[in-house]
Amino acid sequence: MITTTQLEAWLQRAATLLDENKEHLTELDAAIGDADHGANIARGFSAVVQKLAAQPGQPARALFQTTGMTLMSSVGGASGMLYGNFFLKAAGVAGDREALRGDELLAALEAGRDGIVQRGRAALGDKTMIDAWTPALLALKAALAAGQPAATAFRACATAAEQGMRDTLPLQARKGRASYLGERSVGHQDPGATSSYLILRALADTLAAPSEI
Amino acid sequence: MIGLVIVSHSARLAEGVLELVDQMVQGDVPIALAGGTDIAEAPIGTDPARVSAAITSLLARDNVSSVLVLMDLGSAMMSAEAALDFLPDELRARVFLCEAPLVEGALAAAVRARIGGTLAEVYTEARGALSAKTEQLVAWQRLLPPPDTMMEEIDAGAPPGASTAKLTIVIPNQLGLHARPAARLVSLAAQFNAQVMLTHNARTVSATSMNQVVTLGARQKDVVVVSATGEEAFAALEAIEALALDNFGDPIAVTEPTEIIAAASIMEDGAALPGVAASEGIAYGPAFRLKSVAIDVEEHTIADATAERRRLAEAITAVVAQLRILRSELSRRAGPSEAGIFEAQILMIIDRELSEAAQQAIELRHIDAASAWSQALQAVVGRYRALDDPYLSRRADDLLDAGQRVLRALTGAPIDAALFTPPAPSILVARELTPSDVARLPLERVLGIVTAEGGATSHSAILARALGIPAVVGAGAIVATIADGQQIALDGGAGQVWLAPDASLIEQLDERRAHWQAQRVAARKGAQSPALLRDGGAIVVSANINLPFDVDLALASGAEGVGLFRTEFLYLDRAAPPSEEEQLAAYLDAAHRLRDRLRDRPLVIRTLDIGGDKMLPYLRQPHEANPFLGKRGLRYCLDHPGLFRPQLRAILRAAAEHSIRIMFPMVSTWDELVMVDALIDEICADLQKDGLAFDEDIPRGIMIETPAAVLLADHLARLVDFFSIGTNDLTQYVMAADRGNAAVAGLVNAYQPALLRAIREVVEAGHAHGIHVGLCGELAGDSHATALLVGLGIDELSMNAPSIPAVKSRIRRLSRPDAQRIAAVALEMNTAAEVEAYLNEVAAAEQQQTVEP
Repeated sequence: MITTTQLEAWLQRAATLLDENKEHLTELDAAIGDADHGANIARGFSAVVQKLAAQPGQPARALFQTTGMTLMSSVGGASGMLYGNFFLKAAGVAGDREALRGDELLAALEAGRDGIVQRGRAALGDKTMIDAWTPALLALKAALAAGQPAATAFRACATAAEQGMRDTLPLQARKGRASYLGERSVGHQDPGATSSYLILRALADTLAAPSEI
Repeated sequence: MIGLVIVSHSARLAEGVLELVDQMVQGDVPIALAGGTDIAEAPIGTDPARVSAAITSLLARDNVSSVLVLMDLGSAMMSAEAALDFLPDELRARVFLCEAPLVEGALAAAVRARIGGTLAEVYTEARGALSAKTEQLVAWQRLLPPPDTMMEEIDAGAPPGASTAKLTIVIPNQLGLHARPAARLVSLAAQFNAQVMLTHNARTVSATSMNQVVTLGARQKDVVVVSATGEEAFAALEAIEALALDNFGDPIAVTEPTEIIAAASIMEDGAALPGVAASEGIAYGPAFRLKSVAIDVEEHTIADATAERRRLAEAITAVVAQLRILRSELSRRAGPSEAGIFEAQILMIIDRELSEAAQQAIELRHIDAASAWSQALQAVVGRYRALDDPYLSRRADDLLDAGQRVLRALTGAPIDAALFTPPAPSILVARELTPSDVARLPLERVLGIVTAEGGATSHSAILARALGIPAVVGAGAIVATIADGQQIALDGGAGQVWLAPDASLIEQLDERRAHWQAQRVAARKGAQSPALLRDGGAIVVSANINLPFDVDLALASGAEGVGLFRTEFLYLDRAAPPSEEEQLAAYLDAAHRLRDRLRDRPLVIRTLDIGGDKMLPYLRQPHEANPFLGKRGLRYCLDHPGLFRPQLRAILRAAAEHSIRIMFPMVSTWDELVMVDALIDEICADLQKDGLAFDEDIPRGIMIETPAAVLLADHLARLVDFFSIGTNDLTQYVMAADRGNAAVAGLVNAYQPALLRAIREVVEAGHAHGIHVGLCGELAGDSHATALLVGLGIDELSMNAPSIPAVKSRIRRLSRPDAQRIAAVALEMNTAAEVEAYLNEVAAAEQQQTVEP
């Protein structure tokens, strides 16, 4: 089972990773966007950590709702809207549980991913976050179906996200600011896919650490 | 009154829009702003909370009935959507998001709102705001010489290091810039980091849009200006110039298509209807009309435009994959030049202009993908038809054909096999055959072909010649009057068709036909006897097939069995995978056809080989950056037991009473075979429980097509009963050269010494463990390679039916020691060119010395 304490730890770890990689994300975004992804997303997650610290121990739904609303109001760019919707949709599926089984968290993440698609209208191969999320969740689903323990399954999930992130390099952007660059967006890694990978890596890192249960 | 909300990344822009609008409506229209964010470090951005507050503030006013939200771009749209999500249902029903451009839309909407428009009227007015601008600017620009101005503009906005270059070419092709040369140009232009445009008769189009390039309608000797901007502009132009000098890859001398459209007058009985002599031979028999498969789409509104757009994108991707399969298939049956039409079709349907029109219709009008695609398709087809060059305008049919496949993928409308399968051997009658038609025709039931349209260079004509079917094309509109089952006759050599042949004519034709057939029979003579070496050993010569009825042609050509049943075709052109029972029926059908004549010859069924460039519309195959190195063949199937199990069950059941062997594609590890064995054991247990007959000892084999399988062949041989070397994939993987990439085409050559060594390794490993080693790639059907392959020790050669007679006759002239000597010499060579030259020499010498028994 994955407890809400672990989920909080995940979001803290994500905030740390995103902050550490702030410059890298901004560099990626400078190449094909408006050079604000790193700062925006790091600010958003740090706001999330502050909000959660003020209200510890919320059940999954409230935890994710707070996260989503905070991201929407503190990121400023499209990524805030996308990740915000991600957590709002995930909240609905996660429900008022205190702990989630691997497959329950998967279902919440899938709903979140669908939230990104709903908001961003991106399809696989458009050089967006979806290119990291889709393979990642497929890998997670396969690993869970094969009966692997959560630590292993979520690591596989992060690895697939990383691959998906790298695979955005040769793609031509079809969504977002980068799409205005047309063919010139080819050869650059997508910043959104990169932050998505970092968020999933944070989840794998958290679940790999010795937990309280 | 209708209120307006202005959403912008910039608070100042929102205020600026308000300023402009107020100039027009003097504060009479309620407007609320949601510009910028509350974040001090990032004031440029949007905030759904602000949007939501702006909307509710307006709705709270007594004089506001509904609100229209206008926004700039990117996150502004998302914030507006999110704000709507937050509103309670009763308020949400009073708000509408408008896609009009912010400034133009806000002005138009405000003016309409002021005079008391309804929400629909205000929205319509806002949406129309861009059309006035479009009309004015586009109409004005048409008066200017477009390319220069366009290029300067692009130049000014281009990144440093970019430059514009121009090139004037005179179209050398006899048929103008038609589908195949255009396809080559489009593929080439897309390879460079440059924006390449073509200008012809004052029209400028993107060189990467297939439909735009063809509908330029450039004919032979027309001048086309090619301009390129960007880092690789010069390289792009150089490459395009070279392609133009090479006649755009077309043969120089093409027979001018003859256009004979006979008046639909009533022909006198017995008179010959003149057409174009397309393929030699005499045929008579009942007519079989090829029905056109129109797909009905009914426009309806859909709820989730995103999902609908994704459906369309997936359908297009899937059809592209199908066309790629057909391309490689047809290239085997009729040669690469004819198969090029599929490449053109692929470019036509992936053309962004077409797909974007359809995507936009879905997004803006919320109509279903099939209707959106059908309408966008018809618009482009109309443009093709409007070209005054008859050859080019006929490309409309190619586009329509490919476009119909997308519709079929979307609607799941099945192809009714009956529409394509004559009840008895017949003369096929059609307006014109499309590439897809020909690819799925059961050729053994086609005595001849008559078409109303088409010239000597039409697909029907080229294919008929390649396949040896008598054909008359371009016989005119009167062909439409031929009824199903009506007895007709044709002489493909003379280009004549008789709609009501009388007894004396048939007698006359009989004589000519007997003569023609005697020649054909002589050509196939000997094909039926076994392929024995001069010193007594035998090489098994078998056929590669796609569908059960291919067995008939294979046997007629002298096949001693089926060495490769590619099951992919059972999965194509449908909305869901074939069920276990359907597959069982197909495998039994193939086995029965084989058993009727050759009692104990084996049928090797290869399990589904998808992935790589082969995709199926109904499987959500994830996008892979490098699909040939991704989940394909056995890798994919092992991951998808839901797809794999029914096929394995069907094969195991079919094997209960037939000599069937199972073969797995794309094997690279020991584990994969262990997993497959475990899965088969499980399935056998299930079948036992279900009380169904099956063969648990079914001989199991693998394709050797990865370097890993070559290197591990001695280990893998312990797990299987036979190997079959798939030289097409093995060549591309051993040479690390994509077989679809023209730039490395020279490497993708099965005569490469590295590949010959790989074959030797596999044969030695297989024979050391006492298992049978076959070869089923294209190399098997290359009669120049026969001596080499026999010398390397290959036990079985499996190939497409038409190659069988030549390969068999080649084997009969060989002795094993001779073949081994030839192989030993070839193995010592350094280059593919040396090997090829040596084998040609050997073949020429043999032709002179040996007289066939």
